[in-house]
Amino acid sequence: MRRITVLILSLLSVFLLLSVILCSGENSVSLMEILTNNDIAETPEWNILLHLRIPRALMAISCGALLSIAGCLMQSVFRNPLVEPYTMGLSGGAVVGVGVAWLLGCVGIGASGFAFCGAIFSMIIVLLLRRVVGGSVESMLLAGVVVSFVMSSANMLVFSLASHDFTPVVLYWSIGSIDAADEDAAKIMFCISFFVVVLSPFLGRLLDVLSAGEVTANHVGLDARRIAVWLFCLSALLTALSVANVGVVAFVGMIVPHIVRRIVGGIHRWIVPLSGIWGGAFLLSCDMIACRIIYPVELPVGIFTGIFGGLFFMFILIKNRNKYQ
Amino acid sequence: MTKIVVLVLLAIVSLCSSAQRIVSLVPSVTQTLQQIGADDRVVARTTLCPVAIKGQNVVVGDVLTVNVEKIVAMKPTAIVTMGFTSEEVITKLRKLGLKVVTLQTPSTFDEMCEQTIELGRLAKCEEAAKRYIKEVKDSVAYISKSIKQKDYKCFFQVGTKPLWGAYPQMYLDDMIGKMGGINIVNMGNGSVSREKVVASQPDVIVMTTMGGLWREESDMWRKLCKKTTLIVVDENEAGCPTPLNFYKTMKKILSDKFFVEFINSKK
Repeated sequence: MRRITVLILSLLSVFLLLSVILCSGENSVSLMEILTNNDIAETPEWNILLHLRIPRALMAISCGALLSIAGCLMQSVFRNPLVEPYTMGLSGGAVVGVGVAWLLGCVGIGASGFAFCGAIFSMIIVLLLRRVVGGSVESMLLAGVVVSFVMSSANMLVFSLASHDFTPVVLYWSIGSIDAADEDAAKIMFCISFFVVVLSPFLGRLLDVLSAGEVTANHVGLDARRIAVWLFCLSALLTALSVANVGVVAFVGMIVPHIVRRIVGGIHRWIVPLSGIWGGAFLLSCDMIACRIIYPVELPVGIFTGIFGGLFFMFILIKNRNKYQ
Repeated sequence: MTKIVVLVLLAIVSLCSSAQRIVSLVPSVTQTLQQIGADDRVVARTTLCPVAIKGQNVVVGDVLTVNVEKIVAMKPTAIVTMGFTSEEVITKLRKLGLKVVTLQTPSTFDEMCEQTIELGRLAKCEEAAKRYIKEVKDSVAYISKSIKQKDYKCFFQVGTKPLWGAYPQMYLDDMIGKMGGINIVNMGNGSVSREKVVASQPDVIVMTTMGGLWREESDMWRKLCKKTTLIVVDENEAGCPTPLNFYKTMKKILSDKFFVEFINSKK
């Protein structure tokens, strides 16, 4: 009962947050104006709402949801609270993809495609390394960390080889920004994230068993390693979709599942979809702050997810200090 | 008018004499020296500098990082830098007894012209530089006078992701003023939100080619600002502050058919 209440309140909160963001701030248009002004379509405020704010909000909600669910899946598979797409080298691979795209003169949508391929490439390297190293779930985690470091170095190489013209663009991509979200891409991403959130509870039981450990999972008849690989691939796909559109937004996949677990407990049937909803709300809120804190200058959203992520972990560390003594 | 400028440039080449050995670490400086006919004085340049028309084409690094040993090996009489070159490199070069001339990024057309004269002096080509400046200044003044429509709102986009526009204290802001326009970015360092641009309802948006991203940007601006005139200019000219490039970019904008249509519609 409590969890259903949390779910309903979460959905209402997202809807309210969306309404506030779309209809507030400078250059906004209120609901009353939309309903009463016949010439509203001629105003720049309407263009701002329709072609800038709505696609941006949809993209923020979608990418926040996908990153949170990806993080949630990884944390359950690896039974490690510090794991998220960023620490597993997937985001780093995407940034290398963007760098390579620019080196080859492929800009715009092409760069997004390269980012997607870069993230998938990282995933493949992790899986291959895992096979070489031993095949266990722990070895996959170690492989991910190694790939993360390698991709960071590859990024530095790309920066060194690149002309200084596109260094700011690649740098901006590596911080994460939802500026100028493409309308069509935003609609597609929203549809994808909607289905992912709606279907995610079906993974609940599987994740509950996996969370208990590889041995327990094998005892109940599950091939834990194979399932871990498939879930890792699913996480990689969700991450690649997000990074291809908004760049590297760190910490969303780490913080949100933690907070959700504290509220609803350890049942993944609730944790996964709620992580998606709260992840969307979290990224939407961070983006609103990024847009408005020093208006008209817009900051990359990744700055604020990083700040809040860091502060959150500081809080957790201090709160649980007795555990580490 | 362009033909006159080109003819004068060719004449200027013959006026330059006497060898200097200049290492240019700034693309706009290399191009300026080429335009005043002192290309043969440039013994080394960066990867982003224009290729030598005559003389050596030795590269000593990119705009941000340079090979100090290679610079020293060229035995330069002067090294020209701007804000990109690090202080450590400049200090090192000076300690080695080399003459380093540090220029500031010009914020107006007049500053560009003064720098050109200074470069002419450095390259022992001052008279040629003065003639070049006189021709370009006359050309700019001529096309400025011909502008009929004033006080239209203009946004000059120079970058995307993040969105950057020409800002006060930038030479492109001076260009907008000379073309009779009002820059909608009237404070800050050029970083601006799209909402701010749309809300300002600019009459004209000029954008550089931005490495090919201008197509996507055009599509977006057409959706957001339906009544705005869009003009695209070459980033290699608009982004390289030499007096001739300044004039060429202005001419390109003012003779653009969409801009002409916009001016005619306001009459």
